[in-house]
Amino acid sequence: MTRATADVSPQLVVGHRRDGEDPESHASVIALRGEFEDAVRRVETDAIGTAVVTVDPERAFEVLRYLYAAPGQAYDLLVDVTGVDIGGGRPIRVWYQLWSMGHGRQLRVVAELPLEKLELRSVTPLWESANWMEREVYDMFGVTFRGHPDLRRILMPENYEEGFPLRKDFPLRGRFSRSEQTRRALSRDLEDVYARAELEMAGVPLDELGMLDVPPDRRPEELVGGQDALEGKPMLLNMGPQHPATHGVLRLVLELDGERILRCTPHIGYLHTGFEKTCEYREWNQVVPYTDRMDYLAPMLYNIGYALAVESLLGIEVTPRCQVARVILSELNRLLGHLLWIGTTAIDLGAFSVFLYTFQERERIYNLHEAYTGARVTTSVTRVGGMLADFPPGWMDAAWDFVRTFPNTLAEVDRLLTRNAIWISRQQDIGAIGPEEAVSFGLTGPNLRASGVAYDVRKARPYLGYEEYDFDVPVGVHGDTYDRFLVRFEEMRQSLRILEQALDRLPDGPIDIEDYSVVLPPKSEAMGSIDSMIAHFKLVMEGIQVPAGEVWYSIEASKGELGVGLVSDGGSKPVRCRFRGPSFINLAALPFMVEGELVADVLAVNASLDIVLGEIDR
Amino acid sequence: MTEISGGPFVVATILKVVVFFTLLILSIALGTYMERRLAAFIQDRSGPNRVGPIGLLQVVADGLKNLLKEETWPSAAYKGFFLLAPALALIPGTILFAVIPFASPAPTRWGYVDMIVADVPIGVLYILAIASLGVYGVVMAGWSSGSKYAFLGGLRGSAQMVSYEVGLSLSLVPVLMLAGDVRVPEIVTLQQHYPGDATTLGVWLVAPLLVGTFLFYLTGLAETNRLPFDLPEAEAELVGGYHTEYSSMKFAVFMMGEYGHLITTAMLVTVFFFGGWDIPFWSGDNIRVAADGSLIGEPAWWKTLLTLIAFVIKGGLVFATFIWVRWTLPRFRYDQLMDLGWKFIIEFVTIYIIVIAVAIYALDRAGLAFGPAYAAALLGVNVVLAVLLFFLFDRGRLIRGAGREAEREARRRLLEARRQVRQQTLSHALGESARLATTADDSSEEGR
Repeated sequence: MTRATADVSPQLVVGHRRDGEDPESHASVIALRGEFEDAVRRVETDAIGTAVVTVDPERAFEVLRYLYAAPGQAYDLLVDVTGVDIGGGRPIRVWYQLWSMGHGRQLRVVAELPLEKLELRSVTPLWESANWMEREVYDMFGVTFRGHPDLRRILMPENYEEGFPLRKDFPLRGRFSRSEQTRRALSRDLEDVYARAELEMAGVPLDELGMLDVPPDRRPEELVGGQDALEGKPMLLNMGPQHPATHGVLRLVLELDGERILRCTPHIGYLHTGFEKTCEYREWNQVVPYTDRMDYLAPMLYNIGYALAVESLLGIEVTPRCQVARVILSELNRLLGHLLWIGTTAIDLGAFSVFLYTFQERERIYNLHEAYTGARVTTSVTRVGGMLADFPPGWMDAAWDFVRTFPNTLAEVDRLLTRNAIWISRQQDIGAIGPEEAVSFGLTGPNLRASGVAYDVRKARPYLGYEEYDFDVPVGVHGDTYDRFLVRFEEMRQSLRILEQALDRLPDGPIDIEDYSVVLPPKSEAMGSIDSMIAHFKLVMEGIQVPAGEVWYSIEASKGELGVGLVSDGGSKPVRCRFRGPSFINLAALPFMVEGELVADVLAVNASLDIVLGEIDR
Repeated sequence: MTEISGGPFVVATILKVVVFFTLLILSIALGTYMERRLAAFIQDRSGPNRVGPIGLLQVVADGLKNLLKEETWPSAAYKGFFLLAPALALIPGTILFAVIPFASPAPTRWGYVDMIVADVPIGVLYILAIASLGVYGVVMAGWSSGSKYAFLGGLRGSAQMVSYEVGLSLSLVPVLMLAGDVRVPEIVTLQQHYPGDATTLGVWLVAPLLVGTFLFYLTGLAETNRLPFDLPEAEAELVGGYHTEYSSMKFAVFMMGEYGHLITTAMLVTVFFFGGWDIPFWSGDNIRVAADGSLIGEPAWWKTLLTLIAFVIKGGLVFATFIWVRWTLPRFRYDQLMDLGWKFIIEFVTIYIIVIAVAIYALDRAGLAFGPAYAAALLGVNVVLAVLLFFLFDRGRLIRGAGREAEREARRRLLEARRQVRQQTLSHALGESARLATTADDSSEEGR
């Protein structure tokens, strides 16, 4: 099946269990075989049948450029760039997860980098979205990207000295002792950590600092004449990390001419807790609670995305009841996320009351959470192979009650905002991004759809039986803040439609699968039969054994495409656990959207992107 | 009955100052309470209801809390001005109260007492002059805090208040044209109904000056930095705006200044357009000072009390609409606000003054005597104007801000430039391999 070239060092086996799809029949693979005969090292499929093409790192850029530009390929969306280190001195693999809107095709290109030469050519000229994702790979794995416009650490502090956290040789607790870490943190001069924008303004020569400079022609304001009117120095305004409207610990350094924004530099990582690293030290089911804490505004979507990814590695499909239950919870959480977004957007634009109206509805969803899981925010609702439990008695009635009464609030908010002259004038034409730019920046979810690109994972690669539900994907026209508002608003109505159908069709039957190597047998059985007891014992003591393989599974979260990349070596813990948080990539487009706008617009645009710092910083 | 004079006059004046200043401070405190309760009502929650009966003592608790809080002095602040600013914000709002008549004159043994602290002959001018002093507190706070957020807030505040000051003053001109006097009690008298008296209109000015009322209300909101015009403080953008760096009692004084200003504005709207202390459909309160200083009408203490209650109710209702607006509407953007002020309100008020002046001239020439009929004619003019106003005043025409053609054009150019940059980098990256052009063609056939 594969034609691995001889120079490759021992590899982690990529799963071949799904024999249904032959990667060699993938159109792109055929083309690559023809074009880059010598560059393609191996072709495999992952657990869900995505073709994985491992290429020579020297020629990875060429291959990707071909995939981007050739009309027959047209992989216009670079969904994810991430690294995988499996330890033992074996090469670090850099994944490029691609999606072609036009052809509806998925492909993963992998560059294998030997540890002694961790270098790749940056693909930022092809996809703007590569900017932050490559920075993250650099930050976490130490892979240098040649030609990257701004290769700095992104999640870790810029002067972090302990190495590259996601490498296997990096200990979970860090290299330095606790006291040393504290000492360094305290003795650090906070003023040392400047963004390039700040340094440039201060007139510091960037070469001396070893920072790559941006070619002047990449600065748009200079092309249109820039700050012409008045002579004078622009003002630097530091917005955040403690600011009422940055929706978390986000820091934006704004360079202002009056109130107009010349440049915006986001700084993230204040909330970085190393979830991905920690997950490598947890059993498969123990990872679930970490997933709550990433998008804590719509936690169940993360639970579900993660569970689906692990189940695909295991090659199991959950019961029909569980599928529908997951759809119900997904849509409830989509509403939860969108309700928070609309409330905080309204607060940022001064309409405080709307915030409380939507929060009342959120509380009702939280009540449903609480009745089901016992927790309101950190739900940890899924288990591999099922849910934590079946719905408690009366829960469905409560859910129906919510679905029936929620439209009233929605209509109320609609009346207050949608046709309000001030609301419209604050949003229309603000932070506009066209479809091409939106795709290039890797926007997903409502942000991308507001620009007129109808890409929704639920429709493009249906999961959980979404193809059986009747719902529409709203798209915008102008890609501005107001269209993002309208799209999300309509999405809430569509979510309600799905909810009604799902609540209607929830089948009877077990909610967990009956494979006791994955889910715990019921107590009565564990006490009654020796087989079940052994299974119970093994699950508790060792955890689930997931066959070796890799998968990159994505679902439509409330903020965009949530990708879960997992690598297993056959053990009870993941080797790599990657979460492609949609907010992380959506936020990277913020500078593009706000430059040239006013200070007040930064908040409108930032709010319309609907970010959650938990998932950005992870 | 003649006006009180001599020693009793001094005593009465001091009493009025003390009593009514205390009442004003009390009403400021109650204003914050009312705001919180009404906001809670609008937002479907309870609001303060724990301290004292129905939460009335919450204001006392707040005051105590503010007194006990830590006083912070930002290291970059200019201490003197930093301390002076809250005082400058509070004083103008409170001394405006001096020229507002709040009840009918009360009879005493020594003569009647005007229920106004100081009946200065330049009443309205005094109001306009003092109201514009309010901006100093904002500017000084913004500048002396040594913080960029405060600075931006101060800048916005000064620009906004100066701009809307013009509109505010001009929107009072039609009132003065009808009253023919700048003394405030005269304006109240004008709105009272004296059958057969051709010097009074007998109708609250809101009817003959409907559009003027709206404009005064609007500019009044802007003057007091209330939503949708609360840009100097805009907590979402500027954290706290000009008072970002203030804490404890200094912050509380700013708050008091804001509510003082707000209450005064509500009272001004009442006096100028809603008859002041006049009780509608009742001629018992027709009490006024004649040209020779004697009193026409039958003053009585109970009438003073009743008119005071009427005044408080009217002012309270206007104040309640301020709250209502605040918790309903989103906030303007700074440039949209300035556009609205300079490009719409000032022009429109000027036109309005001319139209009303012409109308008054025409009505006078037509020989129509002052009275309800006169007011009805003016109302007709106003209704026509109001239709025009609300037709013009719709979205996409006036509150468009971002939609202005020049800005649209600049935005388009910026976007175009960015596309070019992107295209350059892209074609640079793609152009490296000459092979690609041919392979692209091949594969496109393959792809099909």
